Amino acid sequence: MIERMDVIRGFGMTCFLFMAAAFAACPAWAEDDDTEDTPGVPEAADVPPAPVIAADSDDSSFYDLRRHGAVVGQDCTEVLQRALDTQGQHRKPILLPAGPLLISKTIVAPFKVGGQLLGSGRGGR
Amino acid sequence: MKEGSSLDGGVTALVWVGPPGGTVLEMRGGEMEVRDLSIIGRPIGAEGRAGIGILVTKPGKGIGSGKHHFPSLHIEDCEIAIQVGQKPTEHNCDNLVFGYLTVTNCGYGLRVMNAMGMGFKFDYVHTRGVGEMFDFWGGGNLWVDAWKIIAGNVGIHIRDEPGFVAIGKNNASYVCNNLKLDANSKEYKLIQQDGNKPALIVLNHGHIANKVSLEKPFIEVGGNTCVTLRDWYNFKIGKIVAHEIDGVKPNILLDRCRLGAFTEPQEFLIGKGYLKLRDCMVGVTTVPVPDVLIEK
Repeated sequence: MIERMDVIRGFGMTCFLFMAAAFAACPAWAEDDDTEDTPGVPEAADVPPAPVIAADSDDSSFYDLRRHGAVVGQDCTEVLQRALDTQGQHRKPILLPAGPLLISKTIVAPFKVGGQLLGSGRGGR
Repeated sequence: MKEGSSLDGGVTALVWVGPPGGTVLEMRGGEMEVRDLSIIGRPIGAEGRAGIGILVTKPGKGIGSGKHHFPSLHIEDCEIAIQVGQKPTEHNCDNLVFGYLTVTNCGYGLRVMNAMGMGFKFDYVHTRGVGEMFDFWGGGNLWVDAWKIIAGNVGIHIRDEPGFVAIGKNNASYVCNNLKLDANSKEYKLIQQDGNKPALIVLNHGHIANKVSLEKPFIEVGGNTCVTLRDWYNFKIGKIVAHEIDGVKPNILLDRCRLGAFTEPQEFLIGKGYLKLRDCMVGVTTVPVPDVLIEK
């Protein structure tokens, strides 16, 4: 009787171990869908939108001087002055392109609060 | 990050091609930000150069002008790199904050004209071939956190011009930390005070290159002015000139300095004034110099 019970127990344990091994071998069963995504396949909701700074588009965050007539290496006095006259408080930062911008007349930042004049980098000539 | 960031090595330069002596950028308003920009006073090979790179001024009553922020700026080949105010009575034009400023080949770095011109903060300033870097006709209150000096003549010039007044009656302060005089700064005078505009001058942690000359005075002050030099090493410049003005003599304190070419404390002071040595050492050794108060 005792030997028969041992056989039944052994068979049950064998079945349990087999099922546990099969369960663990299959990721779709073993992993919790609520805590981990399938590797390499991100879900749309988890991916933050890429930062878009479209300096050349009309809805840019900047007032891109190139789009308003500035040409590197040429006289940009009027273009820059117009930008400062129109882009002050609560308006867009003025974005200057890299390279030399020739100035032939004093640029006047007007008598008002705020405004940003952003180059591409400081350095020598 | 904006397009064309400085990480790609690009440089934006406003190059002055107008008449010599002109002003490149005149800032009349307040609280503006100018960054990642170079202002060049003339094209390569051109005769003459711009008079002023940036002029901070106030055209009339209204908003408090100044309070500008310059995180990253380079100015080159201008007679005056930055001028604050145009006359002694001009209001505001104060509180300018600079992050990383380099000034090259200019007659003057920062010139302050108006009495209200106060509060100039520099995180790091690098001057190369600038005749006089800080030129105070009026106003005052200068705070520099780090300053590298290459060539040039004078670091801080406190003038005594008729009609120009310092901030308040007598309490302008000039505080500079972490100074380095490059070997090319031969015969450099760090402080030049012309008259009796009382000032508090504090110069913390400085180093003078070995090749800097001993011939000219390093500091010249007068009247009711106090100078503190603390934690200088290789302080071999043996000449501090003090002027008695209206019966008042300036007070100079050398604190925790290593005195490079030290022989006798008396040799440091020229003129009439007080000189106190406290916790100083001989040369690059740890041999202490006795604390002493010298009065001439």
